[in-house]
Amino acid sequence: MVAILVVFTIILFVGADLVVQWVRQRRARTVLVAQASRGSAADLLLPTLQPERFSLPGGLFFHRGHTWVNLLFSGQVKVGVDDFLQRLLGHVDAITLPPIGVEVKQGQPFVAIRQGGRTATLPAPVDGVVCAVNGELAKAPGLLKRDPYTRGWLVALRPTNLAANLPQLRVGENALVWLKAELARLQEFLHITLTIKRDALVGATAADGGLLADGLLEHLDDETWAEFQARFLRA
Amino acid sequence: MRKDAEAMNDTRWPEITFWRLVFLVLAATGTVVAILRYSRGLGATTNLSDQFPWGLWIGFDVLTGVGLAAGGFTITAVVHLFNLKRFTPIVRPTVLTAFLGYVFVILALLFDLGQPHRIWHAIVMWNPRSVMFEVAWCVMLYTTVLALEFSPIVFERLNLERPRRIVRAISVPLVIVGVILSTLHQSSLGSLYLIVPMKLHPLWYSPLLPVFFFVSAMAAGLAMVIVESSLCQRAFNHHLEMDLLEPLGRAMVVVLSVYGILRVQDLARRGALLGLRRPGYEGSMFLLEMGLGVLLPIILLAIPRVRARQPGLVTGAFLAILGFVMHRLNVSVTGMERAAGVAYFPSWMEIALSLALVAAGFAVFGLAVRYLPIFPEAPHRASGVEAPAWLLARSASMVAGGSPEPLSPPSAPAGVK
Amino acid sequence: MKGAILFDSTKCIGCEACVAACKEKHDLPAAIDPKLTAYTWTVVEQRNKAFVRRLCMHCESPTCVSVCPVEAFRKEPSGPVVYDASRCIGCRYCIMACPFDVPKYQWDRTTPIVQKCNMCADRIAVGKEPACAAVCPTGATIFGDRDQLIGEARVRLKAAPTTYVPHIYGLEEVGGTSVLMLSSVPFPSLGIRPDLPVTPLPTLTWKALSKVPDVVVVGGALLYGIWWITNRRIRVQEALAQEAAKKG
Ligand code: SF4
Ligand code: SF4
Ligand code: SF4
Repeated sequence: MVAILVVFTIILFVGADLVVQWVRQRRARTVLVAQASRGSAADLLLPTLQPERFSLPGGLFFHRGHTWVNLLFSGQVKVGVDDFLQRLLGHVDAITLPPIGVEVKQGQPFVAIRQGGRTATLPAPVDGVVCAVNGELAKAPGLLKRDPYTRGWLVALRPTNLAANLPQLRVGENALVWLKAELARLQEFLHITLTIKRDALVGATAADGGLLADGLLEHLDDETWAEFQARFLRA
Repeated sequence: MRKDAEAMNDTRWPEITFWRLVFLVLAATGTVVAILRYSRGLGATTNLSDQFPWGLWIGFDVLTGVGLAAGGFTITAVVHLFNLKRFTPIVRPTVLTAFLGYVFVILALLFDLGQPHRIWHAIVMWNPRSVMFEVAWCVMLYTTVLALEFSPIVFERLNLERPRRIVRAISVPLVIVGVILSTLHQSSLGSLYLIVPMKLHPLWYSPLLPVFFFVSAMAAGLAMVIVESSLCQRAFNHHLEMDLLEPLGRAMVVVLSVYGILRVQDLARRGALLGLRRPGYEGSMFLLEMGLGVLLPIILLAIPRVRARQPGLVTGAFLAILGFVMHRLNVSVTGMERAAGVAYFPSWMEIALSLALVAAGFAVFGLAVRYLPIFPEAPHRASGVEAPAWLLARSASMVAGGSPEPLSPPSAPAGVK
Repeated sequence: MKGAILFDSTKCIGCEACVAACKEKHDLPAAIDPKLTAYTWTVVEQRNKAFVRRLCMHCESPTCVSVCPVEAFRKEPSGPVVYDASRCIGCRYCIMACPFDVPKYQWDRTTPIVQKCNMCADRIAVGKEPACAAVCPTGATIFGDRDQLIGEARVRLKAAPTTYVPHIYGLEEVGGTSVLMLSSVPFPSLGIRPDLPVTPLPTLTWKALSKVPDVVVVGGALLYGIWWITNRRIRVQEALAQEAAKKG
């Protein structure tokens, strides 16, 4: 009997917590929708979406599809995803990388990231031939999230058209300006989405009623996800 | 510390949430019960008796509490001894839980012992033939080890470089000592019951009790890491590291299977399974324990699709924890009732105090997460826009030196048009 | 001499003189509880028309001595198992483990101690017999050297084989006890456990405890070995990577 008592007490508390969470989510969503319908995009300028919160290493070149390039002494380049995408993405189930020897073109999709039943494809930041892939990612796709700029690199390329490609990328102050613009665009995107579709964001709210940047994409419904992919991970 | 005090001063009163309210209520009743316990004695506050001298406080707070802290030694061993460094991000929260778990056990003992002010007697008055003596020493030593294992986090927060380096230097021996102490300690909790072959029901009494306690604690420890990570995600918006937790789920399948097979085999050999054909009180409790708490989690976690998603993984782990809790309480209460000739059910005060202790554990964990670097951020995240030189250098050497193997299967990315 | 008590249930008339004597000797409250408690160290129970005494059996290899973490219990060479309240931390393992359910706790006190019959060890020390044996009017409870009492019990069994069940309780149970019992009805019907093993119970826990040094030594070596191997593997990999980096 005592065993049953204890087990039931535990279940009771967990059950209560599920209810609490559910109520909280509903309430937070109502607040959010109310804010959104009041109409100012500034209301949604949330602390988690401020540029200082995102890491932007100085020497890297950024593609507008949120992939980066690191020029190595050897002449090769390393390629990965940036902090912005990593944060928004949330959990990663699997990553498909191109096989060695394949040729990729700037702006063409070259890597696929799967989350649940959905897949995001990323554009290659430069032209080149794949000469190494990050084997660790297969074992631990989470590396991409934990360490997007070092251990979470995707592939190494032997660039074939660097001189023409580089002007399309942003580095240093340009990159910072671009990141700010991207964040503003994201605000706007979320604002519009929420105004049109109240349930597009399921549960992506923090206790204070703000939006969480971390794993935001997990909470988008399929349609909004596709929209995000088209607008932000573009060629 | 002063900084924290200031930080607390300039925030307004924390908002009253449901769980904070629950915590306040539990803490208040717990305090009242604690006062009653010390002013009126054990007899007035508990349902313990000469027939049933060990109740909820031993069965749940001590036996179960220690077992649930077992994640500490499993994960530190995996990371520091087996050198699977990718599990590093979960070491800190796990060590913290283990440490809090042991402090919780010691606190519970201070309520349960008839002469708590003499708890130190075990240090100076030795009886090496007593299992309880071994338990006492292991609790003491392992709590110290856990405190040391945890101390670098505090030093880090206070920016004390020297002590931090000292502890780091002895970290490997520390982990080894910790693993050995845990092994001894988890199993010796089972050995406590070896001495009552005629009192403990044959469904639970076995000469292998120490082994069962050890193996089941290992499974429970892993399960705790999983459940706890999901709790942290919920409470602190900390991201759930599925790619780290999924292998733990896989390991649980192995450990739980070993445990299940050992137990069934042992019962069969001693002929105790026959009693299950018409299960009475004990039989039903046993079936519940093994069915819901061992078999079902094995099945759930063995299916890769279930294990790979958070709800499946957490459910499996949660069930395994419930099974573990049931086992400890079946040994300490259910299995002893028949021989004692009385049924034991804890008094409300016993329940209230246990709840208050658990609540305090949750609260301290929450505070620790808030004020100590428990969940390490990625190293460069805090440093803003500029990338440190080492970062670039490291990436360079990685491409040059890392032997890049193609991913299997090396296919073109899905969805490429 | 190793002191022991022989209780012959066929001679007991249920007068409870022993209970009263015990209470007086140990300054216990006069009210007699129906079962053993911290304030009643011995009782006389009537079962199946026979009387049986309950008291500590003063085991030869006592469970209580072995389980107590702070050695509050001690088996004296002169027979009694005695308890030192000043050591006890109140874990109650002795109460839980005793095969005869003898040690009892002062549940009504704020700092309780364990209580049980101590065979009047202080009287034995000065050459007197325990209070209950001294007062027994019929000789149902007698005190003496354990071996001599065993001999006496054998004589009684042989002299009246139809009166007694042919068993000296306490001769072998849990490795032998210093309280021996004779009875005309089977012992289970007196409420006395028939199912106790002849091996002392402490051997059960000792089997596990004696492995502790092995676990420490073997476990320590094994774990250190594992760490050494995995660590070395990483070192080698790092060195290789560095070399390759230099060349590249
Ligand atoms: S009967 Fe119990 S209390 Fe008495 S000596 Fe034996 S084990 Fe100890
Ligand atoms: S209750 Fe006292 S005498 Fe009994 S085992 Fe514990 S410490 Fe020893
Ligand atoms: S031997 Fe002494 S303590 Fe034990 S029952 Fe007899 S009188 Fe009481």
